[in-house]
Amino acid sequence: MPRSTSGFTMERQDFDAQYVSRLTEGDPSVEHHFTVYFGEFLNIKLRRRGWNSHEVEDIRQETFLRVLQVLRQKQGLEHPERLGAFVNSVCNNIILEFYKTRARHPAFDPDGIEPIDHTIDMDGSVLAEENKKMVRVILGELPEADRKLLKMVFLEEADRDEVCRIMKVDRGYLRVLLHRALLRFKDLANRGKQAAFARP
Amino acid sequence: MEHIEANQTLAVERYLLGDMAAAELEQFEEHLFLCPECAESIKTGAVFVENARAVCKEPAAEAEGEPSRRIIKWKQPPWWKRFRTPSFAPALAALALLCVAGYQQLVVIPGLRTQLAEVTAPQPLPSFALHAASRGAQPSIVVPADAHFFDLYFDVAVENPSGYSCAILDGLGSVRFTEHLSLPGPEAGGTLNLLIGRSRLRAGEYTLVVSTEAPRVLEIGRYPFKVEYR
Repeated sequence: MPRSTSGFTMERQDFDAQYVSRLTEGDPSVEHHFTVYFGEFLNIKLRRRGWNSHEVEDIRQETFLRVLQVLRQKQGLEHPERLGAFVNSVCNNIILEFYKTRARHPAFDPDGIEPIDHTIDMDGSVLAEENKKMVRVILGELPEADRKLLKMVFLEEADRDEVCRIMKVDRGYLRVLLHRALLRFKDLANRGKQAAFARP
Repeated sequence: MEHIEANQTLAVERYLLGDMAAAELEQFEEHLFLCPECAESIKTGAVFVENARAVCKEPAAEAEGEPSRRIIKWKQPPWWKRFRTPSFAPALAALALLCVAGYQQLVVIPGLRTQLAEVTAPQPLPSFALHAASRGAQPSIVVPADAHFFDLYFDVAVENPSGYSCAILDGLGSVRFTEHLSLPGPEAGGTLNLLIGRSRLRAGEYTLVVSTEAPRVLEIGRYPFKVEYR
């Protein structure tokens, strides 16, 4: 299966009429690409919005099911290049339905114990360990104050404004710090990939 | 939202940090599902964030040789280094003072009291007459072993109103100490007394040199003697 330039995710293909047509017809390789590629986005989107792992999985499956149902009912999309936007809008509709379900069934506790999310680690433990090593390198290169800042933001889930006030930085500094860390992360990933290709 | 706008506003970073209002979030997510560059960035960012969380949760004391961990790792200092922190300084100073005061109270002061009682208690005073140097044998004075003081008395031929300087020289001619003696009263009949603590003179040979004092210094007598303690 093709991989992206960063080595983390499924490569994006051109979402053209042929792709949508093969997806509509049930081509297994295209279906696999579709679910993996958009599955990553849906996972990020839903996790970002605070849904727990079970809910994320349910919404993802429901999204794929409905997209494929619509494609097969309509025999494709009028604008196949907008497949991504279509998937996103279907997902948004399902999110609204889940919100309603929550409201009707309070026992459906969104604040329940959150199981550990392993979905981001789609390439297995080896790749995850490589990623951790790169993150350790990046964190190790940062000044102590910046490392502490990122730790407070990502690990302790503290209020961003409060974190910035404590660390005496503004939100802009935090964004730039993360931006640089991401650039370094991509750089290390690309180097690792080149080294892997260079191996005999 | 256009890609240029997303780039300029660091939309990916703001999305990962949760710095977007609801309307902008909707717009960016729609863009995200269409823009391959932002899609790539957001996936990479999500992997970074997830792994950063995992790394930050790891126990600090692991894997030597990894620079980042060495920096993050907090190593517990040896127990004795805790006393180097400034907060312990007053406590340590107080403890040291307490030890010194306790030692003085329990050991030094009782010892001094005992010595003072012994010295000030009524006791016999051995007295020995010294004679001016002569060709005869050097006189020996035998001081009892338990005596704290002994007295040396001698006659001087020259009367000096300002008193006398008495220097004790050891066998090598070095001055061990010097004392001032006033002119004795008429009842003393010209005899001078020099009280000496036994700790000031060990057993050995000495010479007492008596001189007049300023303004006109003049040696008026030498009295050799030998000290023994029995």
